[in-house]
Amino acid sequence: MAAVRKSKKVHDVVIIGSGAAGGMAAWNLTRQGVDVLMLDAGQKFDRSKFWSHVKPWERRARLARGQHPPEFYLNPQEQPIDTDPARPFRVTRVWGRGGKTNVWGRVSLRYSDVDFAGPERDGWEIPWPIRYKDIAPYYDKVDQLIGVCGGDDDQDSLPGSKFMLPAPAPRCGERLLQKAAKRAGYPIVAGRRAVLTRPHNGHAACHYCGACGAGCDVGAFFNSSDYLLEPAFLTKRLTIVDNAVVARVLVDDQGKANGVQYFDRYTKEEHEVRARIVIVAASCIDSTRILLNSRSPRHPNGIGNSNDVIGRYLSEQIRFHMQGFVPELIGAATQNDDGIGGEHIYMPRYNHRDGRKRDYLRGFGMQFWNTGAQPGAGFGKDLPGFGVDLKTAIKKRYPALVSLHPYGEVLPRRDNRVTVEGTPNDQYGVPVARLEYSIGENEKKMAEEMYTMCESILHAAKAEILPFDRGWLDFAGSAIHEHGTCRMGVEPKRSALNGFCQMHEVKNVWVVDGAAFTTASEKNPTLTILALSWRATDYLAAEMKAGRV
Amino acid sequence: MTTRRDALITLATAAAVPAALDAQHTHADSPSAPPPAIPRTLDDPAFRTLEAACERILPRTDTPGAKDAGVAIIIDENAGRNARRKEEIIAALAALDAQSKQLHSTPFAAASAEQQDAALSSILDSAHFRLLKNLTTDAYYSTREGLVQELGYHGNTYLAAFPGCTHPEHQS
Repeated sequence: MAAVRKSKKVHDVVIIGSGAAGGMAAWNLTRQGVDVLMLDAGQKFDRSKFWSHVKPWERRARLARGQHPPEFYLNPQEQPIDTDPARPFRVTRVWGRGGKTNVWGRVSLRYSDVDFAGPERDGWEIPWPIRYKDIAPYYDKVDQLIGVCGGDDDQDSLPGSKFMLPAPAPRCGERLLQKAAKRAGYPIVAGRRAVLTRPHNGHAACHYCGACGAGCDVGAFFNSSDYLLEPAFLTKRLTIVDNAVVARVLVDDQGKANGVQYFDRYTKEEHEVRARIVIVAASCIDSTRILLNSRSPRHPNGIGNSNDVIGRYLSEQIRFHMQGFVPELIGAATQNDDGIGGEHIYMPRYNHRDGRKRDYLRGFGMQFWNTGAQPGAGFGKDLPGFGVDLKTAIKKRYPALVSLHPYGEVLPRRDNRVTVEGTPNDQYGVPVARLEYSIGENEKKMAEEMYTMCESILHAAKAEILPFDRGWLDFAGSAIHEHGTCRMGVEPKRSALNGFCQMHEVKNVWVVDGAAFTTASEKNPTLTILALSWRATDYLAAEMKAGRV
Repeated sequence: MTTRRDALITLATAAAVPAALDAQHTHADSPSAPPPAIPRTLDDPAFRTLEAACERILPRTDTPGAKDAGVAIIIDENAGRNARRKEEIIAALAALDAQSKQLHSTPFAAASAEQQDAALSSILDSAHFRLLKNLTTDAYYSTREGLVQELGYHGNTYLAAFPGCTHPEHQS
């Protein structure tokens, strides 16, 4: 049996994961004088090697020459996740510095008390232990640090900000959708994205190439590596160990955390590092798996899990897609519709307003993704026929594309869970995660209204609508917004963390990623993850200074 | 407007000759050299059927068609990486060929354009047709011929500013 490499040094803090959550923790702690060791499962992605400006045909030529783009996405075969074949759940993971922020959607929306206090109002499960007033100063700080562009609309479900960078001008299709939605009685406002529409804090402004999904070669949208880790390195208090696949949080005889066990991703060497504080930020599913595998005599059910809360209440968002063509743009000249990549508009949750009745809990918002000319014409497959007529039909519609992508909140349910009970081991000998997850009647009823809303807007726009299956929902995990499996709450019996992301049961463990969320909301979470992690580490730094932790 | 390099790539792959098409002027490793020819996945008769089918699905008009754009080559390359896809394509082409022989007593690749259209129309509701149409559409509109020359795509470039919609009639 190979020897375990144990490092003697006791670090102030060890952070597991380098994405939005871990990166923010590292940045905020190092600038306050705290020494941080960060463990990341991959290594740095080289921006100079991104294929941001490689056209589809050039891509083919490069692949033929044996070149390949950076492999952002973890191949599930390297680290499987078990699911029930009848209930598949695909988890998207990025192992490398910056995690998913290298390729994320950049949508940056503030949560509101509609989210934080929602469960108090509707009675389903527990409310968050914080309210908007607690996190608002941190949203302000995050906006100013990372740069968020967009509208300042201040809504009950979508609070505004005084710190927005200039909003990008809507495209023709977006303007037309806004007009149509207004006629149909739905609000469409300016979106918010962590994209720089002017240079900000030393980072380059966006040049509107629309290739964000391939990684930004100039770093013009927030990513943890460039915006948090690089500045943190300048303090000389951050050390990162790359290719460190964390397995467990280690504890002493009293059950207090005292380090982390990890395996070298490639050599499979086992390592142990020591730290006074452990911050878990490996993204919801991976973090939860680490906690559940962290078993000891004091924590037989996983560290901090005597109330069987960790792993449960897995929630995410339902989502579908509807596309069409607005008549004003059919046959129009092709424009450059790239913009800041992704839509410049957003539809905030409205279903709780104006005495609207609904037979389900919570709500949905909507994104609009692809408007106008795209680097492809996938919609052509859904137009009838073939030949010159098809070719002509595709060309006429190409500039007129509009697409609707509503996201709805999934209720937290006890039986939707991450578990490691009886799961097989991964290549390092550590039990893999199994996901058990189903949506319920609540989400199905919500989806009905989401479909009705989308059809109303496209009808109001007099759009030609592409065929769709009413009731179809995208696969579980497709939204890439998993939450709830190490939730914060007031009562230790029903939650794992307090409002500062500190474990109720183990005072020197923090969990700062999406797992900490009490609800999944309908909104994209990254801005909230950043704000919560900043707030959590301010609290941690103060507790460390006071000697209480 | 195709550059000389693009023409080299198209020719090189279409003719399936080694990359030394213009060996006197380009080095095989230079960025402007055509990529190495990839061995054909489908056998010759199947490939010719595929090429003919793609061209009928998205034909040359006043802009290049599927054959000009090398769509069959792209589909063939993808088939080489996916055994199940390869089998599905072979089955679709066989079905198409069978229809052509039944209707016109001639293999699809040798039939006239009208006859080919009739054969395609006769399998319009089938999964075979859907597969060929989907592959052709995705491939064609990923080429310079399809995306730029036919559709006028001019995105993924460098702009100092993004003007957005400038049409007064679109404003709310």
